[in-house]
Amino acid sequence: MIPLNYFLVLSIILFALGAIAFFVKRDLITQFMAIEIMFNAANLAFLAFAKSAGSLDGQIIVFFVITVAAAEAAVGLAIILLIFRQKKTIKSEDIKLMKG
Amino acid sequence: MNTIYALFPVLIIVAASLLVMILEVFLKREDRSYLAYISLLFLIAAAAGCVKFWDKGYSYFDGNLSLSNLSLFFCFILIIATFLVILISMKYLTLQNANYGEYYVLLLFALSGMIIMVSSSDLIVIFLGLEVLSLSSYALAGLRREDEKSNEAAVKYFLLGSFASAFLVFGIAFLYGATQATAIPSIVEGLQSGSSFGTLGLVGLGLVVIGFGFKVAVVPFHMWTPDVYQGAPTPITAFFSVGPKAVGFAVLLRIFIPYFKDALESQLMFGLLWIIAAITMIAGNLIALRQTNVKRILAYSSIAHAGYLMVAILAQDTQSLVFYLTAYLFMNIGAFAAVIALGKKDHEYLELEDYKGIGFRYPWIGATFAVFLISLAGFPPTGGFLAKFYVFSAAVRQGLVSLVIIGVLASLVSVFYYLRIIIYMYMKEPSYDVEINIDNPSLFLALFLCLYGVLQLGIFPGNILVLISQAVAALPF
Amino acid sequence: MAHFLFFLLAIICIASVLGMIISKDQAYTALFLIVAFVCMGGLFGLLEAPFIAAVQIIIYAGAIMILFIFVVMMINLRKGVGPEKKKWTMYFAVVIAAVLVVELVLTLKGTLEPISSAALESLGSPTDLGRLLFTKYLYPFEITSILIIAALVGAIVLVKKRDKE
Repeated sequence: MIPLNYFLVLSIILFALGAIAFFVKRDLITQFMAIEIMFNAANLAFLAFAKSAGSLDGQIIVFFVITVAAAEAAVGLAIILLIFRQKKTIKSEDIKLMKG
Repeated sequence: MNTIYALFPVLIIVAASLLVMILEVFLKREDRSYLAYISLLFLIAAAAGCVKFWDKGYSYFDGNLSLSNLSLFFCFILIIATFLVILISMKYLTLQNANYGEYYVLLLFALSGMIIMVSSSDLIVIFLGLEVLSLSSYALAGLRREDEKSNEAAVKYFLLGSFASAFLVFGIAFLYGATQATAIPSIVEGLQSGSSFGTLGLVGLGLVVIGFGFKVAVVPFHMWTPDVYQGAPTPITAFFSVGPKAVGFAVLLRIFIPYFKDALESQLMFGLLWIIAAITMIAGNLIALRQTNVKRILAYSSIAHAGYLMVAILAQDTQSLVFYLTAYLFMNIGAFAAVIALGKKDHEYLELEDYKGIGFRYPWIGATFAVFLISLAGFPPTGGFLAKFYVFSAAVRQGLVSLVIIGVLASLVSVFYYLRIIIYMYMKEPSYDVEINIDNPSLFLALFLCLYGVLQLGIFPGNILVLISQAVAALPF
Repeated sequence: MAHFLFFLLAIICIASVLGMIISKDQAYTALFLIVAFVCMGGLFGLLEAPFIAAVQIIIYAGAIMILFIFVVMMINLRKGVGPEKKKWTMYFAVVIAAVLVVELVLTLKGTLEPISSAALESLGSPTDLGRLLFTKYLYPFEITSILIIAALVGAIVLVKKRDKE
């Protein structure tokens, strides 16, 4: 039997790595991928907690989170495409028309 | 009472957006304003439903959806906000070349997401409602597709918004782990019972605060706000500054007012929110001083207002919070309406320089804008004054004197930048001509309604206060 | 055996996320991410959620990542964008993350033992999940339909060809 804390530690590490990637990477697509990793880390935590509670609720919630991630992917990639068509670049440092 | 009628407000809004979506295909481009009229009609129906359900306490789905008076009040003001936003955008869309029928569809979807959020106390439902709101908002921010600023606003809002959502989900996961529940009342109960999961729950709560902190734009989670507000189409900016903020605070209210009842258990969170409130008020107002773009000034002002609203949460006074949100809705949408009024085909006047002499050239717009700015700054006899007064006096009653002093000083600072716009409008000579499109009846209707709202709340707030106290009476929700 | 599997999957998962951070080519980034998601699916299986594991692999590693790869190919940058060159952001990010990890891991100390492993026998069977989804979680389920249509409308309005004036 694997202790559930192992899963939680892993999920925390992945969440933190996702957050690092979000700040460190400089193109919009990879930054968005980093967010997907963070969502996945949350899913792992949900499943671990569901198992510790012995209930199915956590598993259902993961369904919803996956749905949300898919919907966000659709809109997000559309926005990134839009930016690319306008600017011919997806580097985040080129997104700087507005300052102040 | 468990009845399917409880679904009415959400369903009618969703039905409206689906209907608009279908009709849009059949309508010619120049007939698109009918879509706005249809949306307005449905909004009136939904608002009527909210009025009719008052005091009935309908609920459905085992209480996942519950229309308590407070939820209904929130639904009602959100519907009004959307109503006003549609009024101010009708002409704007044709002038600024963004006349998509989907505009109304997305706006109504966003509204349905907000109604879902305020009428539930289950974090999963709230999260899904928030995502409905956010996804529609991302698209709305980027709706002026040919405008690079609008695109940038969309991408910034999207990236930071989903970053925040990830924090929110992780927080919900921790809260679920700590209390085995996703319904806010059980979560709060679980946290207060002080089990061995205490720290886990506390961390979860912190992550949830970060997630909502982004959505309501409190410092230090505000970096996206000015850029998104500046780049998004102006009516949508008005919508962002009111809608997501109101629902965000509605959720924070549900969580924290019962949670703070147990003063000992909640000390750490209380301190955290205290700091957030203080730096939000200070930073929001100070940075606003340096801005020259009117939309950015209003963006920072909305950040500062989030700080005052946070004070209301800390004062654990639902009544003043709800009153503040109501007043804020009218004055902020009104201010943006005035900004929109100063526009012509393919151009908006957004720089402070453009406002020189507007007060005499366009006396009606100038005067109403001045009233909204005075209200935002918090002078009598406007709603903004009373709202601030209620919040700060509630905070003093709770013994938050130092926070109130910070708040009052910060709002003194805010007077400078609000008055600066008025000074530009009335006391500077225009250096060039500002031509605007004056043929915009729906916008003037919205301006008038907001003006009425601000003055009504400022001079005769009695009726509204009675309603709000009825809404709050049913606590805990 | 289970321990071995857990550590194997965990290490591959973390390694591929690190690979994603380091790699410059977007196509590789996407592939690393697929590996990470598949490992995650395996971990879900270890948590007695076989159905979620399948969903994870089908939807995440399948559908969502395909979408990503489509966009990567459409955009087709000649040379990718490496990680941040400015040193301080890098350090800043790492320090923040380290603090986050330590703090969060500390909160876990001594909490969370599985309550009863006997009760978990039927956990995660599609029948039970489905039943729960359409009873207790019916409302959230209905909301997802609004969510998806809102996402569709949003995505389409942003990228569709502009109709003629």
